[in-house]
Amino acid sequence: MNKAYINEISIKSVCGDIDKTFDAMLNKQTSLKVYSEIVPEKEVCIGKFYVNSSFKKLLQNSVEEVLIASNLKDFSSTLLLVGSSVGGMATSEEIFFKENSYKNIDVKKHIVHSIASLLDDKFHFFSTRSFSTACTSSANALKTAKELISIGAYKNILVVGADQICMTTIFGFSSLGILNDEVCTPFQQNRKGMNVAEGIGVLLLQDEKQKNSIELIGAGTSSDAFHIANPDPTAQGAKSAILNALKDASLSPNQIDYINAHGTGTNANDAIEAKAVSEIFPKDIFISSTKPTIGHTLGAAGAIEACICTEVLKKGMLIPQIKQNDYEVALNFVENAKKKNLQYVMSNSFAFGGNNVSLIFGVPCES
Amino acid sequence: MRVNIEIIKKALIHDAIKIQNLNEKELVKNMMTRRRLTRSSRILMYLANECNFTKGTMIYASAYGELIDSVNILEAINTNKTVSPTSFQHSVYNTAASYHSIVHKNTSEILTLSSGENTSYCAMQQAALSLLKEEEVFVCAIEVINFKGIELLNKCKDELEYGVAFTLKLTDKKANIKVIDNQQKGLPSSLSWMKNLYDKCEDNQNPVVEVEL
Repeated sequence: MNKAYINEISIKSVCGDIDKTFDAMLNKQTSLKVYSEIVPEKEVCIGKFYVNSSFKKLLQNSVEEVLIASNLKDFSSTLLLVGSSVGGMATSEEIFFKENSYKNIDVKKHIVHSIASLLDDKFHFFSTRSFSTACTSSANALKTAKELISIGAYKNILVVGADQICMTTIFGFSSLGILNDEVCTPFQQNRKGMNVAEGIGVLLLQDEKQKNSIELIGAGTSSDAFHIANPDPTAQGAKSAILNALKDASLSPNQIDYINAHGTGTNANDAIEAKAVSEIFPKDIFISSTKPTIGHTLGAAGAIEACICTEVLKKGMLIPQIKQNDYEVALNFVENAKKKNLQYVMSNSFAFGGNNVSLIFGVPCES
Repeated sequence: MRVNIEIIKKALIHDAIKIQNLNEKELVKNMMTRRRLTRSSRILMYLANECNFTKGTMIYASAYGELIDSVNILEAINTNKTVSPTSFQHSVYNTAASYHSIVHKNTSEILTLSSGENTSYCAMQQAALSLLKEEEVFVCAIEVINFKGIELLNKCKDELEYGVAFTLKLTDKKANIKVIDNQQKGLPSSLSWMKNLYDKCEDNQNPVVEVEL
């Protein structure tokens, strides 16, 4: 079985590129902002890009950065796997709200696969495939990449997680009463919900180790089979995904050094994730959610947080939890940025429909 | 890398506007759940039942997703009405597959793919990958495009509700079917590969097809 090495990464978050985003996380900063003019009579705290460049351009730039940094001449032998929740919805909304008609909406630019098509037009991949399982979309793409590389079906797979902010998600989460008007406070007693945000995460996975490789060592999934939007309160689904990832990686819970939590800041998600973590892992396992810094990037979250995990391992730095004073549960939340020798870290992603994915990343063995 | 797949069961249903008898009362006993189901979810319940599938790995595919609920949300925002929380919950692409898992208490892996015109072939590729670990896999592709306003966009689709599904198994047997992905008139192009496979299976007692991972 081949190993899946993450050899290059690139992200675009509301904080900027990977270096700016990681620094912001270590320094407990946020780039989420409050807007009062989007939802009538309501303030919403969300993450929108502040650069003078279109989302599509940023997406292409991110992929280009990875190509330039890689050992590949082009992507002609690379499989592209995309994970996205809303695809080209923002483009369709722009036309519909302006013209009050669907007539000029280009269906090919609306669908989830529009992201893969855009990238394929520019970079000409060997083949493309898109996943859409809401907030686990790109985490599922990463799991598939690992499986395809491990059996030798592909040598190079580019995983892209991308979701652009749009009215559908802002109004949608607002209608559910879980869109926060402040920066989210995951796992805290009086948390008020999540911050929807846009983001792009790109990872090149290859079957050959390079100097700074991080290994995608385990991946586990499960379905809650409970409710279309609420997680199973027994946390069985979340626990199964975590345990399946540990089994896939042949690791025991006490070998995981840090968990990058899904930690959206909603009552339901955080309670279930905390229950799952506390029932599986030792009490002293380090944990934090990076969503107060960059928001919840929905289908892109799995890929972006995978990039964050690779940085955590490469730099040996634990990311602190922003706003910590009133936790609902007694987990070992990282208080301040901390240098630590790290071997294995986990990233959790949970989605509507009870779709759960846990991924484990590791520093490759020297051999 | 290629693998050979045996088609154990197959099912197909479609209608120009709206499929009439999906046997929902029999298939989803709980009335509250049944009332909430999206059109794609109802079609999936029917197809899965035809393929004797309740539990195990499911690969679900749709190029357009839950258009009816997406349109409801856009219309509400555009007319300053309240967005329905149910419409938002139902607007994600994995809604139908999730409802099936809820009804049948299926906690196995469920994946939703959406790959434009290649959607149904990509679903088969993903199913082939799953078959390397699982004995049987259920794969299903559905398009429901009969939302209010479709006539402004639709220039070539005659069938606005369409679903095709298979239960699959890995095999060492030689492939005896070759699927040519020619577009069929009036059919959503995202489903053409699986519809062509379905047609080939009609004339074959033990159909086996080769799929590239």
